[in-house]
Amino acid sequence: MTAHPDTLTMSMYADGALPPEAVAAVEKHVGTCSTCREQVTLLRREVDLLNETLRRTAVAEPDLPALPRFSAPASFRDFALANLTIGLVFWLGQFLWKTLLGELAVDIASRFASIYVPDTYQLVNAFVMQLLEKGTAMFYSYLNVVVLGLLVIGSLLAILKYRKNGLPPAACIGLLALPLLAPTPADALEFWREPTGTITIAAHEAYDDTMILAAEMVRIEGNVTGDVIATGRSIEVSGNISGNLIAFGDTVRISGKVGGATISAASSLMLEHADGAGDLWGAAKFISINRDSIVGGNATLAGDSVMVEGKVARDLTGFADTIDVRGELGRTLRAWAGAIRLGNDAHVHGNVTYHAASRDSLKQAGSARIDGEVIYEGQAEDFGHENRYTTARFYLWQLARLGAAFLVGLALFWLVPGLQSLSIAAGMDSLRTAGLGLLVLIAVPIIALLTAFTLVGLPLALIAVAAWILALYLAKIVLGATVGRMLLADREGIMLPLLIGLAIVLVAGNLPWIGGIVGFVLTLVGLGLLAQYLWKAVNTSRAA
Amino acid sequence: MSRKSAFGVLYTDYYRRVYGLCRRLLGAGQLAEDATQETFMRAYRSFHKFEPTQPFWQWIAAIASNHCVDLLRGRHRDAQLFGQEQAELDVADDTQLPILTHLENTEAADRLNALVAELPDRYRIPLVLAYYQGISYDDIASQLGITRTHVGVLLLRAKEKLRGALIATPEAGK
Ligand SMILES: [Zn+2]
Repeated sequence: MTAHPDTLTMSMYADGALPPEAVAAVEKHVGTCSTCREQVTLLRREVDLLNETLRRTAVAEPDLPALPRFSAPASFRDFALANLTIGLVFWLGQFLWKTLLGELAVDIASRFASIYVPDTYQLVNAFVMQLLEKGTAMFYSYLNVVVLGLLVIGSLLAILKYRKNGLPPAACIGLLALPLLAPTPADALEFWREPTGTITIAAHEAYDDTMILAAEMVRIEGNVTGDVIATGRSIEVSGNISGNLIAFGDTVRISGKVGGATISAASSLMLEHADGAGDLWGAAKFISINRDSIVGGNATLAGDSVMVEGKVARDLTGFADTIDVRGELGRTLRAWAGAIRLGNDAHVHGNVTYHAASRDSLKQAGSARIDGEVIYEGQAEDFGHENRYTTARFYLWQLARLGAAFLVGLALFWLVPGLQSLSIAAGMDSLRTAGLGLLVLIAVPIIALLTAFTLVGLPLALIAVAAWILALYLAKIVLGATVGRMLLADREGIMLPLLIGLAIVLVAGNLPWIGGIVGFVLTLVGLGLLAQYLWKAVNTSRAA
Repeated sequence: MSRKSAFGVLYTDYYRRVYGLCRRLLGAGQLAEDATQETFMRAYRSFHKFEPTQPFWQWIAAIASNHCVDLLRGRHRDAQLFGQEQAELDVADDTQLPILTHLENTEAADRLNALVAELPDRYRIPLVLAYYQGISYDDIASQLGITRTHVGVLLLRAKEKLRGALIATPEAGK
């Protein structure tokens, strides 16, 4: 007689799960061994017993919940998601164009304007012009394609989805019309380029569009009803601009009217008989606002020398070696400067607050008037050294951040419920998660930068960077929810775990001394979680 | 009948069965109701893939068990939910324990149910799939991504654990 088969073989044999080639040997043994034959009978009876017991209703079964939200709201959620996506694309488009690209261009120009060298200037000018020209055109065409594509896909999906459920066609059309209510991506744009010549908008001419003007010399004597973005060696505005003016060049001279804000970077920025209704943001070696000029809003000026002879209706904030005020300031003067001089005609309606090497850095002429107080705030370097943890504002701000993150989190988990199933596994997995996060954190901007250099990829790069910024924000929210759920594993719903997890993440990121690195690591893990989820989602949909 | 109302009928008929399966697969302390809702949500989304010739229970049970295993896999702290086959094989068999062939009373049955719920995930999942759902070793193996022998040894260890626990705590369930 052969030896008794081992317990695993017997168990699998009793369950009828042995591979065919192994069955014969066992069968032969069992045929001759009464011990094993009995064993098989007992094992099969045990399986029957287990089956019977498991089928017993030992757990309290809940009442049938009402046919849940999954039917109609599931598609409503898709619809909301589609709308949100479209809205986000519109918003990102406008945000990127108006803020990032605009500021980037101004920044580059101001940097080069301050270390002005003819050759460098040419280079920058050429670069900026190319950026503006190609970037703008491609960005908008890309945006249009994306938006149009989304609309078409969304419409088709919606029709398929809602028609099946017997929704009347009128409602379908109504739903489809909704995304169209979103704002149009941009006003009409005019792009003029004259690298070595002059662009003149003559006194009798009028334009309705947003204009981008790039030339050796730009002259605006007529009327423009949109925004003007101008770059060139010399820019002169003597006409009317009803929108914003963004100007960078070697010399920027404004003697006309600007209805919106003025943003300018130059080697020298001069306002002569100018009438600006909005704020003025200026960065230049030499800035002057002459006697007849008015700035309707705030003026924020940075340069070597700032001279204000005209009127600033609100606050003047200056960063400069010397700040000369000989005109009228409607509210306060805030200065970070080597020397501040208030001339004889100066009239400050509010306080004068200054940061300088010494109290004597403020020189006030005999007949200069200050209606408010004069406050000396010490050296500029001392600024910002107060302990942030002792201010009430810090805690209010953190509370506001918590509230905002909570709301975003609720919306996020409603829109993408799958994110709720994420978890941070211990050991190697969490390391891998953080590593993945680090990869995303580093790789996306680098790839975006490389893509941007080709210019063809510029719009793509901008969108990638925007998505990346969004992901950075969402990372901590997702992580907070995951942490909260780990702590409150038995809790139903997402509200409490989300709130508690977010609070923990927020506190951890604000710890004294180590808060920065902790926040960084938390962001890494959160990014890793998001990347994992996306990776899984893509794989699942491909497999399905 | 529209898809929604047809699905509503199936929902009413199968909710308790799906809940029972999720409850048993997830064991103690897990959110079986959420898993049940998610199962129906997934079923609703892929309802167009359902072949009416196939039993509905089989189809939705597969969705439920896949989802529950995913949940447990995701929440598990170890890298591998089902461990290593060899490590399980290396555990010595406990041949001293008598095989369970009958239970004295209904309390003993309740206790056995509670013990199943408290089994480690890696033992409970194959146990429920094999002996409650009646799925073959091969199907369990492919669903869990492990070998047939691995399934066999997990089931054997699960039964051994139950035998031992039922003897160790004859009255503990009260
Ligand atoms: Zn034998």
